[in-house]
Parts: sequence; structure tokens; C-alpha cells
Amino acid sequence: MALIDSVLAALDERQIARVVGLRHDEARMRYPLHRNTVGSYDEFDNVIADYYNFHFTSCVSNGGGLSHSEAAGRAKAILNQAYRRHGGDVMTAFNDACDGTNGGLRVVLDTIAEGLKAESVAMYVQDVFDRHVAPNSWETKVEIIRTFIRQCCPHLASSIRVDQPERYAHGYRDLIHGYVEALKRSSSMFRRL
Amino acid sequence: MTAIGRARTALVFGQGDGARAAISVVVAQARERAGGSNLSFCGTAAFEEPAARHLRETVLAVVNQILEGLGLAKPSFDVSVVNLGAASAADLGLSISGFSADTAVALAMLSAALRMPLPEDVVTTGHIASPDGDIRAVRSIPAKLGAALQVPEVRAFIHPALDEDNSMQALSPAERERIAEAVVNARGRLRLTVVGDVTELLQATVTEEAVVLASLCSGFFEPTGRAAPQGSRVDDAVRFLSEGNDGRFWRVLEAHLLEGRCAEAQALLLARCHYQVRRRQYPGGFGGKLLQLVRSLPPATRRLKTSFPLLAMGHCLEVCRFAGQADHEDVQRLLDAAQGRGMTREKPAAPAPTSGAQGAADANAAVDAVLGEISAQTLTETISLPIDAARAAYVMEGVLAESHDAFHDTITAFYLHLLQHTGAVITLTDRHAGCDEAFALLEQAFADKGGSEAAEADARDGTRGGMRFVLDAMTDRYKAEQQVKHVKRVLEEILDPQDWSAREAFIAALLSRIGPQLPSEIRAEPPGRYARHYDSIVRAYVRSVDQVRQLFRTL
Repeated sequence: MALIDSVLAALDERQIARVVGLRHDEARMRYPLHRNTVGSYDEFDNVIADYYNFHFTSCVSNGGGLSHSEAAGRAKAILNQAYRRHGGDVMTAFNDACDGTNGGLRVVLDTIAEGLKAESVAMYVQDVFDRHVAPNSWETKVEIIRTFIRQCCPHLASSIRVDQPERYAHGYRDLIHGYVEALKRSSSMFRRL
Repeated sequence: MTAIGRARTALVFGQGDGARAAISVVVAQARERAGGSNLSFCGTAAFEEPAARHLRETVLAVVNQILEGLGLAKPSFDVSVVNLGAASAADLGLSISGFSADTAVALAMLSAALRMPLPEDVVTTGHIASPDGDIRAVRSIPAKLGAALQVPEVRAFIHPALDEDNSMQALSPAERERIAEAVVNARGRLRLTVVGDVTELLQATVTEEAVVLASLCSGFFEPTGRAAPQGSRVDDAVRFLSEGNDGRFWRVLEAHLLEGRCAEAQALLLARCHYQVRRRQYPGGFGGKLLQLVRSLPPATRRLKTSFPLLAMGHCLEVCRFAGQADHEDVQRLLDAAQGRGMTREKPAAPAPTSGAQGAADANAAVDAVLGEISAQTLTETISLPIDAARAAYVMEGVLAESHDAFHDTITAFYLHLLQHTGAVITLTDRHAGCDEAFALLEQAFADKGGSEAAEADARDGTRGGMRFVLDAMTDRYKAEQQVKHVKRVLEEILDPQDWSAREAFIAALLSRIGPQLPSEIRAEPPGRYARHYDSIVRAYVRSVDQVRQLFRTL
């Protein structure tokens, strides 16, 4: 079935990396950081906001920047989410940036870059589904989703694997979320910082 | 010869709740004049007499002390304030009565006298309250912040500590709350910096590039030894401007070259060249450092964004005239680096040994000394920080290696960059030495991932982040290696001069202290087993430090 082949081709890890991931890695590589530590929370706030804006304008908005507080807020949301995996939060990131432990500010910015990359991958996957799945009849949608779940079975959470494909034929937001989370866990495209 | 300095400040009209502010610019013109320094005012906007007297008696004194400490002549200054549009339209001139423009006037005068440009996105306010450069609070901070927020190009606001000497207690709680609220509201849009003296003012305002260029042009690149009295605020300011300029020079030059700002890099090199010619002195080791820096640039940046010659041959020769016999090799390296030729690679000499506790009679005391030198904090500060900073500063345009040669060059260049930032002394050797070491490091970094061939595949494919992933892996491996070397060196220094029984006692004491961090198979062995061969303890310790750090991260 050509349709499912094109969905799977578009969702191939290397294809996603080429279309989405590379420009995020390039943006991260282009950002110069002249000090790897910060002296105060205000400085930390400024650096993460500046980096977020740089990364965001380089590969998300293609030019339109955010206000300082908007950028800082979004950066902190990403840091909170990422550091929560280790039982920490944005203050853990600040402490690392203060004394340079665990890679210092460099790794904090890496974490923001990975967070932005994950958001872009989610948008890309959503777009693939919208383009390839949404315009089809109910039966075709169910068939595509059934094949997709079967093909991606090892990566998807068991809760998704046991669900009926019909559940996702109309609203596949949860399926996309599950797929991106699976990618984050298993794909080499994402770094586990 | 005259020079102009400009600094933004906020001017206030009215008082209390009705106070309004506007952003204006203080302009200072410095003129060399025989017969001593003085300060005069010009322009439509005028300082009232008490303010003018304060500027002459206090602010000018601070500026002159700094210039004196830097060994520079004290010029005369003409100071004016740009009249506000509303006043000009009404054919009126501003009248300035307070002291809050002191910081801007001082900065404008220093900028003019030192030929040191100030960033245009910064507004300062503050009263210079003593000839030693103390800065104290001024009124109407909320109105001034409001005015700064109205000007889109203003990004930073520098103000005095609001209650340095508890005098703000005189304000009503409502007023104090209004100030605090204004500061919090502005924080999201402006970078706010609190300063307490003239050194902090300079640190918050001037960029490294401005200081290094000014020091080269005005001649205070190296400390003169004519600083103000030790411990004074002005002395700190003099030291801030005159010390560490060589380090600043290399940092700024590297940033320009890495970020592809070749014209700025050339201007900086030219300024250094003129400075050395004026001093009739060849900077020892300059050629080697420059060659090293050029070779450590990412190959694509060197090829596409760096225009050679970085320094015209004529200028190089001017500096080389002052080289001595010992500088012969370095001169050749300078010419090579400036012309972008002879990119031969060099390998690092063995790092200089660090000082360690020596000849400790008591094993426990020796262990205490050693543990201080190999603690997680010491390893982070002395080893990890410079390596992480080096990685963080290394910028590249793309993450994909286009060819085997490009990959090869990037790996070698990055390795040289790491060496340069970790203080490794590089000496001339055959062209493959640095390259071989770089690939040995890469091989180790990818030992469990398929080796250097897998690294190249990653760099060319990009799925894992291409060169970004490869360079990060090299950085982490280099960091671990350097930590092992450091710990080993510390242990060697303490153990090598000892006899067998002292070594055994030391190892026993060490194992009892760091034992819980080591694997059980090491703890189970008798101490004598490690008295001569302690490599496994070192590696296990470094690994455990990293693991403990990861654990703390989760708490």
C-alpha cells in the first residue's frame, strides 16, 4: 500500500533527522558561548532567553523573535520538563550553570536545544499525519493506523499497542504524542542529557 | 587630538508620583591640553552650578585618577548633554540639577580619554558619591526605568544598589514598594545591573573587545605599575582595565575568527601590531599562538570565512624587526599564520606538573592533602570548566562533514582548540602529530560505538547530530582523560619519593577514605597490590566522581 509506505518513509528516523533535526543541531553549533558559567540568576535568565531566541529565530520562526520574558519562560519550561526526569527542575540547571558541574551552561543550552528539537519533531509528525492520513476515508485511515502501529510496535507504549486502531482514526494526537515520546526514548536523534 | 565619548542616561522632570523621565546622551570631548586637566560645559542643555561643581570636584577626580593609574595623560574635557526633542522644539535648553548623570558623565569622559566605545543599548544612572568612585542611589528609578522601556534599542539599565547605606529607609513603605515593583516589571524587558562603585560600573558597561582595543590604542595593554593606592575602588578600576589584556586579546580574536568576523580580527591584529611597534618590542610566542589559533579553526570557517593575510606582510615585518635571536622560530610561525600557510600540526608537550603535598610523613595527612587536590570540586574547577568552555566556544556553520578530508581536518582542528584552551604548550613537530593524537582521542571516545569509522559515519549522516555529537563525545572523553591524568599526577608526586612501606600505608589510608566510592573488587585486594600500580584506583575514582555527580543532580 503506497500510502502507508509514504507515511512510514516520512516518519523514518533518518528522514526526520534530515528534515527537522539537522537544522536544530546546526543552530546549536552556531551559538557561541564565551563563558560556561553564570554569576547570578539574572545572568542565567539572560543567557537562556538569548539562546532560546537565537535558536527559535534560526529554525522555528525564521526571523521573528520573542520578548525576553517570553523566551526565558519557554526556556525554563523546557528545562523544568527535562530536569524533572532526573528529579530536578530549573534550579538544578541554574546550579549546574553556576558552578560548571555536569557540563555547566553548555549542557543547559544543549537541553534547551533538544527540547526545541523535540517540539519540532512533534509538529513534523503531526503534519505527516495531517497530509497522509486525514484526507482519506474512514476505512483507509483505520488501515493506515493499524499498519503504522504494527510497524512501530516495539517503540510504542503498550497502552497504544493494545488499543484498537479505530480509536486513533479520528483523533491521532495521542498516537503522535506516544510516537514522539517513543522516539525520544529510543532514537539516536535525541540525546538523553 | 580630540576624541568623543557618548553615554546614555535618564533625565527626570518633576518629583514624586509626577516625575517623568526621558533618555538622553552625555557627550564628552577629550582634548590634549598643556596646563592640566579641566572640565568645561557646552551646549544648550546646561548643568546647574552645584551639579557642575560636583562633576569638577568628584567625577573629574575619579576619571583623572583612573587615567593616572593607567599611565595616561590627563586631557581636558568638554561635556554636553544632548537636548531633548521637546525642549529643542520649544527653543529651550535643559537645566540639569541633580547628580544622577554622574555615572554617564564619568563613562563618557573615560570613553573619550581611552578611545573606548561604549555600547549604545545601555542606560546608566547613579551618583558618584566620593572621589574614590563609590556609587550611591538616586531618585526616580521607576520613572527612569519607564523611560528606558520606551526606547526600543535600550536593552540594559545600570543603576546603583537601592539601599547600600540604609538611607532608603527614609522613604515611605509605599515609595519603596513602588521602586521594587518598577524593578520587577522592567526585569523581563531590560537587563538590570546593580553597581556599587566605578569598577562595577566599568565591568557592567564595557565589552572585552572595547577594553582590549582601547588598551592597544591608548597604550595601557600591560599594567604600568603606577596604580592608585592599593585597595581603593579606583585601583580596582585601573586593574580591571590594565590587567589580563593579553588573555582578553586572544579571547576576542578567537571569537572573531570562529564567528567569521574576519575584518574585526584583522583590525585587532593590526592594533596589536601598531602597539608592539610603538613599544619596539616583539611579543614572545605570539606567532606560535596565532598559528595554533588559526589551525584550530573549523576547516570550513578557515577556508570560507577567513581572508588571508590576517596581517599584511609589511606590518608583520615591522613587528619582526624587534624580534631577538630566540624569537627566530616564532617569527616564521607568525608569517605562516598571517598568510594562512604551513598549517603544520604540533603536539602538546607534557603538561606542567601541579604542586602537590610532598614528603608527608603521616599517611593520613598525605591522604588529606591528596583528597583536596582530587576532590570533585577541584576536578570540575581545574579540568572540566576550561574544557567545557572550549567546547562551548567552538562554533561551526554546519554539522555534516562533506568528505573524509573535511572530517579529518575538523577533528584535528577541534583537538588543537581543546589543547589551546587547556593551557597545553604546543611545540613544533611533524605535521601528523596533532592529527594522530586527535584520532587516538576520537577512537577512545567511540570505543564502544564502533570507533573512528563510526564517528565519521555519524558526522556524514547527521542523524545523531553529526559533528555536534562527535565533538561532544571527544570533549567528554578528553575531560575524563585529563581528570585521570590529574589524579595520577597528584598520586605520583606523593608516592614516587616514598619507600614501599610508606606507599602501602598511604594506599591503605586512601582506600579507607575513598573505599566506598570504589568497586568491591578493588576494596577486596590488599593495599600492597596497588602500592606500585594504582592506575585502576585512579580510573575507578574518576568514574565514581562522575557517577556521584550524576546522583547529586537528581537530588
